[in-house]
Amino acid sequence: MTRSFKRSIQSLPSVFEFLGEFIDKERLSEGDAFTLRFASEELFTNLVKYNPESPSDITLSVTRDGPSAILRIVDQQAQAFDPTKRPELDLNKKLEERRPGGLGIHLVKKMIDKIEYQHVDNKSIYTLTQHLE
Amino acid sequence: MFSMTVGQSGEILLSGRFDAAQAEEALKTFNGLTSSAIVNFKDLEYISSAGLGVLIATQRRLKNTGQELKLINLNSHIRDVFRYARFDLIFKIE
Repeated sequence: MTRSFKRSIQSLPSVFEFLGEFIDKERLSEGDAFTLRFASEELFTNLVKYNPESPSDITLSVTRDGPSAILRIVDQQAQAFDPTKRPELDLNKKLEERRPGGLGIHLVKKMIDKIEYQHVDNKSIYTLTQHLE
Repeated sequence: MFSMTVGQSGEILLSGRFDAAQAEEALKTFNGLTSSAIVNFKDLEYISSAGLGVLIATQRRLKNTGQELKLINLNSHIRDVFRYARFDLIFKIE
C-alpha cells in the first residue's frame, strides 16, 4: 500500500487512517500497531519540521514481508538526514537539564528492529523493518 | 481522535491519540494548570514525542513552583515509551 501526503502536521489523521487500513488488513497486534504508528509519526513530523521548503508530498508505503512489516518513507528534494547516525541522547539527565529535540528519533531507534537510510537523487528514503509479534 | 477533560476533582482524563496534531491545543489546556494534578491515561491509546513534550514542559513549569503532575493508568505500550525516554525519572507514575 502506498499513499502520498501533504507536508503538514494536519496530514497526520490521514496518515493514521492509511496505517489503520494496513493494520486491520494484516491483523497486527496492538503493540505492533502502536510501534508502526509511532515510527511513522515521528519520521513524518521530522520531515515536516526540518524540510518545510520542499513543495513535494511525502510518500509512505507499508507492506508485509513474511514475519515483518516494512515501512518506507520517501521525501523528495531533501537534504540528507540520516537518523541512524544521530548521537545517542543522554536520557539520565534531570528535568531541568533536559533539552527538547531528538527524542522522537531516539525512541524510534529503540522500538524499531531495523532502520536503513539512503539519500539518492536528492531523495531521502527511510526503510524501517519491524518483526511482528 | 483525542480529548482532554478536567474532572471535578481536578483530575485530567486523556483519551484517544495524543499526537503532534493535538499538541498545541493540549498545551494551552495544560498551561492553565497552576497546581499539582493527576493525569489519568486510562482511555489514552497512544502518545508520541509531541505529547511527551507537552507533559515535560508542564512538569518543568509546575516543578518551578513546587507542584507536579502524577500519571496513572498508563497502558503497557505507553509505559514502554516512558521507560525508553527515561521519563520514569521525571514523573511519578502509578
